[in-house]
Amino acid sequence: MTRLLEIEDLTIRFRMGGRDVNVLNGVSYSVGKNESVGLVGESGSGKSVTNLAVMGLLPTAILDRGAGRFGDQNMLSMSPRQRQKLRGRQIGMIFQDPMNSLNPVLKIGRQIEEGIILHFRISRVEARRRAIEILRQCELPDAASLLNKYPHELSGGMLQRVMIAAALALEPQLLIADEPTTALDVTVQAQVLDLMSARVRDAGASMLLISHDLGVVASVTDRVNVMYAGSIVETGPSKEVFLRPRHPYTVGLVHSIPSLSDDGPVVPIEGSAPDLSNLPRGCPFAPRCRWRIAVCYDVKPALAPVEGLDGSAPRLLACHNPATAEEAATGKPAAKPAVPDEAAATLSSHHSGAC
Amino acid sequence: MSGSATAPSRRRTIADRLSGLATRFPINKSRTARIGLALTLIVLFVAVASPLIAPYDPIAVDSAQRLQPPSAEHWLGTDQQGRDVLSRTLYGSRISILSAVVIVALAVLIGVTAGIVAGYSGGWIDETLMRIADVFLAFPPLLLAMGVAAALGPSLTNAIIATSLVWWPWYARVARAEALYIKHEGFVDAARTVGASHLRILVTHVLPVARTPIIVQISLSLGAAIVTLASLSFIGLGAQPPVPEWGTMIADGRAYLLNQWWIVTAPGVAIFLTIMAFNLLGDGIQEILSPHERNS
Repeated sequence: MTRLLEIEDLTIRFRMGGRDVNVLNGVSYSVGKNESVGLVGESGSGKSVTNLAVMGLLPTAILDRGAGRFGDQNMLSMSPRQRQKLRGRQIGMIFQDPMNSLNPVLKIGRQIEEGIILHFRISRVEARRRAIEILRQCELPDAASLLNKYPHELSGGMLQRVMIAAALALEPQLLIADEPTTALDVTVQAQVLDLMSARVRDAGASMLLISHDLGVVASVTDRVNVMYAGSIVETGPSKEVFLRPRHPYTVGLVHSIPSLSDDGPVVPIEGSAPDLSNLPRGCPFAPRCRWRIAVCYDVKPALAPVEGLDGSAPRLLACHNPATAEEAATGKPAAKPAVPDEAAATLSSHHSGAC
Repeated sequence: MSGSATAPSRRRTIADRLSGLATRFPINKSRTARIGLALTLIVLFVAVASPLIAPYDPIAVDSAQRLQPPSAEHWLGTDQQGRDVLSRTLYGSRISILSAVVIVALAVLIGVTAGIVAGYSGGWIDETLMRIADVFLAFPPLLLAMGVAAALGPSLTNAIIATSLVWWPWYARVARAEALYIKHEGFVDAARTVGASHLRILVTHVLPVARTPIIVQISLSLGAAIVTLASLSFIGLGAQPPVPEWGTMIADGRAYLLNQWWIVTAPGVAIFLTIMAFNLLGDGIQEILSPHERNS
């Protein structure tokens, strides 16, 4: 598959309060043409920062190292002007909160048309015609009158459709959606997600979906990258990863979602995400991991290919002691951790009430 | 859909806009705003219609009619050169209001531009612009205006320029504060991802959101602009005789204050009423637009 977006060894450090915060530690991933890729992780795992870096919305000073290519363009050596042309026209973006992504004092039409006029250099009348057309495609009723409304007159679900329409109107090759359904009612989440992936597929574009919900990501993407503390810990075909997770963190993610079909208890991941300004020497997940072995505290595992279970497709995994198929199904390791928890005392005292 | 489809679309849009304006500025919600608006409209009417309603030429000298007390012929009497005080006062509204509008427009132009650029850019641009603004704010307003007007030479135009220079830092501060928070809003990032330039974002996204506090500031400073201009004229740095400017009229008439009180009283009352009109309107608008007071 030809690669559209390729991120290599992206490392980002913020300096906050005199301390270095390691937000991204050598993240590599790619999105192919016509491919949907997911990026999953909990808050603070660096998934949003990754994509802000892709869009060039972060101050370049904080970029430590890494490479990014979009098509045949080097994204990191681009001039601000080139990058401005890339944004919207070639890479579209949808944000988490649609209520906040539209200017409250401007009519919807003006905000959609703005991008169209900017990139296609066409008249306002023509831009309006295109805006109406794309709104219709995004299943928004009465598109013409919608253009004369203000954002507060629309529901969250409708606004997110408007945002999708506004992004797709510029016919981007890649659509980045950062938690596009998190702020929406559960009832419309699936609709919006289906609509978005269907329209992206129709347009022959690629999609990068960022979410904390592995289930959501697995349902609409081809491949998924699971991130933890600024590193990718597991990557593989979405369904595969969701149904048969190997990395203990992915196992934890899958089992912390309540399920109707499964009567098993919801198993939370104990503890909380590590302090990014003070990452452990070994695996960042080790203090919370129930599969940990001695080496986990000393050596950070590299992302390496492993055979899929039951002879399924191989995937990349960064783990010294991955879960087996049975363990993945139950969410519990077969045996007690071989190594006592170094930080057990602090963890339990701090997070005994955490759910 | 409501409304008939046959109605001319042009009329619809105007009606829509008016009702939109009424929704955004619900003037009936504030009594202060209603009184202020009524008084302002009266003052504006006088300014526009003064050639029609003034009984005499405001600068025509009639030495036979010098220092006449109020009478049926001259309702507010005449001044030391026999000019009709009522006519001069009515005409004076034109100069005061026009100057106030020009002063505020200039101050808004300089101040809002500097303010949103400073707030949006941050860093050394912000520091530089706001420290310049601080220099202007460090002087008492009237003193600074006097200094500038005296340096430029006494004339109405120079007094207007001087007063604008006194007012712009206030707009810069208001606009900067707005830009500071607007730039962190999601829609600014969203506009960036669509490929909008910084200039475009300032004009199409920051400015429209920042307009409400700027409108309040405008309505509050119109009155102050009139006082400052009248003060400059009073000490001889503004409008020059025989122009019927209120400050100049008071300056001319103060020698006769004890015996011919009407010469200074008419322009004084006019200044008072005009400023009160603008201030009530400003307070009212603030009341309407401020969510804290909206429910009280």
